[in-house]
Amino acid sequence: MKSIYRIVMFLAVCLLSQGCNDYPVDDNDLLITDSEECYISSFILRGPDNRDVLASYNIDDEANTITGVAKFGTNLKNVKPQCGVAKDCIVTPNMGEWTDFSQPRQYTVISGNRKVKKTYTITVTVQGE
Amino acid sequence: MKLLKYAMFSTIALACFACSSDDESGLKNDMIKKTTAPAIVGEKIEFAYAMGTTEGRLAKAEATASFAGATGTDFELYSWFTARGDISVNGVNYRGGDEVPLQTVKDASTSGATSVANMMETVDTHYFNPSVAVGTSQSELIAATLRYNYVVPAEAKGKSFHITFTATSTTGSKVTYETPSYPVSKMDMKRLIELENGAACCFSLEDMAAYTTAEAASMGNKIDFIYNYQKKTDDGFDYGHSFVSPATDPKFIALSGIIPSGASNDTPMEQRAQVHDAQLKGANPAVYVDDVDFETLDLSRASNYVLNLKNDDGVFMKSADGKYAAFVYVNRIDDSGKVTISLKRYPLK
Repeated sequence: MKSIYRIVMFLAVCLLSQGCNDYPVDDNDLLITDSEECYISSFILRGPDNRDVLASYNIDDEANTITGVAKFGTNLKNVKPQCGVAKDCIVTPNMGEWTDFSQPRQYTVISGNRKVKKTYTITVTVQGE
Repeated sequence: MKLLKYAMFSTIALACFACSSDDESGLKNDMIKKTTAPAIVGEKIEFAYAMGTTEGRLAKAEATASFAGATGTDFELYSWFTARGDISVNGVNYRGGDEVPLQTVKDASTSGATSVANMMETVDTHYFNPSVAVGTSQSELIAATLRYNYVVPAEAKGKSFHITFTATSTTGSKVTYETPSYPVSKMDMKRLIELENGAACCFSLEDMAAYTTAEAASMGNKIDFIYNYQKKTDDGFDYGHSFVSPATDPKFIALSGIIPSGASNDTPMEQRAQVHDAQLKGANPAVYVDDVDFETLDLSRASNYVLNLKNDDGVFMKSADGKYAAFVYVNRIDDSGKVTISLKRYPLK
């Protein structure tokens, strides 16, 4: 009787622990959710002084492009991109690293459910050039 | 058997005496290094040296440095205590919480590497017992914390120094405190240099000095950067207070005719905001640019100009010949076309 009781308790604990995992995680331990939203909502480009170097920018969700105009004199060879994205999205390659933006760069946004992908081409020019 | 007992007892007693150490002495000392900034040649490093005795009173304190300190190295005459309430000392009124000076050193002198402070015989009892009003009575000076200032000498640059403190009481007891070794920076530092449009605007890292364009023209290729100010470019873009190299593309130079003839250095530089240095700023926060910041500095993707400098901004740069790295801090900007800078320079070769 005691051993049956122990087995039942053990099975109950196992089932309960399974029930607590509502969302799986990806290889980076980030939650995979139900969200299908997939877009970049905002964009910042920081100089070595950590200030935003952009005078203006525009996000085109249909053409999947971001065009930015950096302030006069900006050195595009050493800037750090950051962006806002839709809920639960991830971006690859990682932003937040010193990057040469003197040529267009591509970043892919992936939705929370990891099923929708959108690749943006980011092009930055400098005032007066 | 009895003889053996006596022999053992004597041996044990002798062993106890042999093991006794200076910890038995009534004279004690301790030390705190108050200055947290890097030790740069010409700068003052402040120590607090505390002494106390239960036998006799304090006679003198000595500090012997491994490198003789530069001019200004000495003990101060005054110790300090915190006022618990409103008090008046020597005709000066202090409020609770104020730091109050009290003379505890009769005289102080420095010869070579050794500084000596001869102690007062008595001080106001309030120093030891705040419940006794100032001016009521005097007590023998049995404890004091002295301020010792060590001015870093040029001979110590890039090396290390330490101090040996010694306290002596009137009974002849001595106690010493040897500090750990402190590294001396390889940096040079100069503060509050004014650069001005149309005046001293050309800067040499070698000389750590500013020159006019005319003066710089006779100096060969010594100029590392030039300051110029213009609110906006002719096309209406923000320009502000800016540093340019002699080799900078003319489209990034607002004022014409400021590059001295013969100057061609291409000086890589990068702007920083929020990089603080209390020694250059002259105020907290107590964080500092140190040797390691220059040893790890990478300007391989930097431009040769920086535009639109603000108050409290800084610029890391390297001389074109690879001899120096520098951090130039902007103390103050003046929109009439002036900037006041301070800098730390580090030898890369």
